[in-house]
Amino acid sequence: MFDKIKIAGILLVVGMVAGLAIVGVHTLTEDRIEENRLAMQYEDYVSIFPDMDLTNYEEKALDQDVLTTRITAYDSDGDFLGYIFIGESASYGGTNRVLVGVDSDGRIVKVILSQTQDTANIVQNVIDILDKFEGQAFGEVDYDAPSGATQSYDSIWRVVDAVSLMIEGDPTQEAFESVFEDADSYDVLFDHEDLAFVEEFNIRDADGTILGYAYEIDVDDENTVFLVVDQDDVFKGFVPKDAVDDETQAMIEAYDDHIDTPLVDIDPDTGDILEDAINDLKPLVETTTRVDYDIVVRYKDYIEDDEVVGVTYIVRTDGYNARMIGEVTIVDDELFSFVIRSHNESADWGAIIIDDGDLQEALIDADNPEDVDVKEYTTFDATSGATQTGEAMQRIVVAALEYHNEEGGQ
Amino acid sequence: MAEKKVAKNPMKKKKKNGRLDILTKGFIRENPIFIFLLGMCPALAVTSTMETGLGMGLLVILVLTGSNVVVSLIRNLIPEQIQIPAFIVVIATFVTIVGMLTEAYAFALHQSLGIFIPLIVVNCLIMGRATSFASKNKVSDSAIDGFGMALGFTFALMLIGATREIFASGAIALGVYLPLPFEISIINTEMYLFNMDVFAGPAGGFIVIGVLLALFTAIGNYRQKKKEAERQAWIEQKKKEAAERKRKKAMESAGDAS
Amino acid sequence: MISPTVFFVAIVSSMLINNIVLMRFLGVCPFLGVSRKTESALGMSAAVTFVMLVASVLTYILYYLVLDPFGIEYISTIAFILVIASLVQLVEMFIKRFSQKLYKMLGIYLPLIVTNCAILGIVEINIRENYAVQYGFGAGLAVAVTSALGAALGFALVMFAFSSIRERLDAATVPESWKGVPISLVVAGIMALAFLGLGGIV
Repeated sequence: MFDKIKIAGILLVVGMVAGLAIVGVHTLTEDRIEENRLAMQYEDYVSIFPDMDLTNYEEKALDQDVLTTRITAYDSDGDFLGYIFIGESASYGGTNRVLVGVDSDGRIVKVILSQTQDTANIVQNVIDILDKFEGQAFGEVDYDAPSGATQSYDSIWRVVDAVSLMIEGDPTQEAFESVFEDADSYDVLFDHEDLAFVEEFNIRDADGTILGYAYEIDVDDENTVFLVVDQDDVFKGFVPKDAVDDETQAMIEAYDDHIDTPLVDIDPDTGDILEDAINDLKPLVETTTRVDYDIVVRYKDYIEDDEVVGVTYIVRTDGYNARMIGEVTIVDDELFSFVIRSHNESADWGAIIIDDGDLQEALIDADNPEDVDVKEYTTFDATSGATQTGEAMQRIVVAALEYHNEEGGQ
Repeated sequence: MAEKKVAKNPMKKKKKNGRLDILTKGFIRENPIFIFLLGMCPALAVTSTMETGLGMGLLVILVLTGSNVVVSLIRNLIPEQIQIPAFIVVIATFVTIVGMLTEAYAFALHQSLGIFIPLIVVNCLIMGRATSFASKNKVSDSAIDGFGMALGFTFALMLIGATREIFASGAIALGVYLPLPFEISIINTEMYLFNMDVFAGPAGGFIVIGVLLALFTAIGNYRQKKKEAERQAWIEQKKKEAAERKRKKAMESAGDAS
Repeated sequence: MISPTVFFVAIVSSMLINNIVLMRFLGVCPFLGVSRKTESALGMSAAVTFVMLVASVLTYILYYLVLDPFGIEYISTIAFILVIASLVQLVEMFIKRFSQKLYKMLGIYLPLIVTNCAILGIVEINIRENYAVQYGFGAGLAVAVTSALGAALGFALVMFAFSSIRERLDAATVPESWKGVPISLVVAGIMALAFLGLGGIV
């Protein structure tokens, strides 16, 4: 017993002496280490703004997902040079720290990848093309990832994109705010084809409650307009996204009289694309009960003799790359059709299955879509993202059926 | 036998030369990397240039000398059962301290070595010297042993680093990572024209160490063969001498008899 | 809720792209020492996987619940190595007590693991990745464990592949001075080249 206490005592003493030594050295070196870390940051700052006065800058923490800090840089005369935005964004090797310098004209001065754990030769591919950002205005730079470095590049792009939103503001959000004061966020409901409008949005307040819906109309290449309705499908007017030319403005104003009229009661005769949009939307509105339910939206009812015979659900899920939207129609409680409305899968992998159509057929034919083995349809590359694409498709069908069964199709 | 022989016994030639031997054995004869294959991880990871290799070597010199001294100092106070944990604490303390000092006074080196600084703790070389030498020997000997072994380690890292750097960039730079007042490149060759990046990468690390190891083994084998030949010659000579003596004796006794 | 892609990427990246042995140079000693026989390679891998997963969880919790709140992150190295050493000891005692079969399989590899830099390396990398800051404490732990699992699988993969190659190498005629470790290292270099190509996945 005494032996054990002695051993414990010795270990304790060894530990304490070690601890004291470490704490001692820590106190000695702490300040210098802090200085060094700062100096490393400064090196990045100076490479963006060589004239920056390092004794006089402002640092502001940003409450944002990607961007962490905004540095306001001045030169030695105290003149404003620009901002440096610091962002952190995940890549496959770990977190990448990206600095984006923006000058007083709102142009990108430089983009720096200051910390990364990605593999050196992949990082080099990315660094080689970071020059293309220099001197560009936001919006002028295209997303153009070097092959074999998509993840690394994506992480940088996310930061640049976040800065762009912060500098320029988000035109879509601003447009919605001009209609609904409480508008706080929006999400894309789904993409339309063959209609006058291309994308449909949910507009939400800070609590996530839906305030209304918006439909994006591309008048021409330069001008984009939203058709906004509230929750009860009352017309709230057309609002421009960004600045629009006088012609478009005039088209919008022609509808000002109709604001606050239920959409179905509007009978436009302007003969332009806005009229088409309203005409396209009316039948949708008449037959649609929109329910906000996780990722499933009941979109369109087919009614015969006052009885619901079929329902179309819009289901949104994550594919391998990004959002994937499917349209599932259920007639007489049986799966009737399943179409992928939009996706972002890569052409060489995921898109092949979608275009192929075999999986869609299999899912419709199956007694229980959950039992379909997705891998059978992705055998050309079972380990790649193709399997994830297939599984996403399966999820869409299963979610729609589950929702339908819960709600009883009524 | 009191009289001096002409041919020395090669097996006995390597009489321990005391402290000098403890200091130098780590270079070639007991080189931690090339002979014992200890500390292979840092040998691969931090040797893409000679200077990072040198930097890592310097840190290991500090840690190993320090930990050997302390382990030797406390060797009689620590009961057998808790030797390992106590040594781990000692080593980890030294590594932490050296890490902090590096971050304070050689920041660029700290950044480039990264995770391999804390990993010095699990470098088998250090634990190995603590248990096999420092826990059994005097403080002064332990210090010399630690210093010498770490020096051998540093030498190996620099050799690997220099080879890789020359092939990858055609030059050897100094002053980039270590806090030296100058920044120069020592050797400049036309090698950069071939631009063999692979030597700076992981594959180059494995291959260069493999080749150097083969070289060391070849030299070792050659020496051993030479030694073996010497021994054979010595044995032959001994046999001859013995035969000579026998013959002499026989002749003498024959003479006596006659 | 973080997207499942994060986990997928974590596994693929720590298993293949940043392979712990061939790209990060962690755990090279057992790689060269133990991987002579396929059987022992697998035993070592199993032991490493087990200890790595448990050590990841413990050190993560230790770091974010003790070291970080008290502002003593700088002693993390010493704290982690003690955790790993005691963990290995405990596991060894536990296995010995409850499963002789398992002990026979893993027993001899466990003491070797303390000085296996793969464990301490992965643990340190997990902390440096700031998963807790990125994803929150709970989800960050899940990501950390996932990437530790990926690393362990990567270790097992390379150990297994390499041991198979070495069994053949032993039978091959190799120049005297290249026998054993030197030729193995060159082979490992060629394997590393092959793994470099996997970087194209992302």
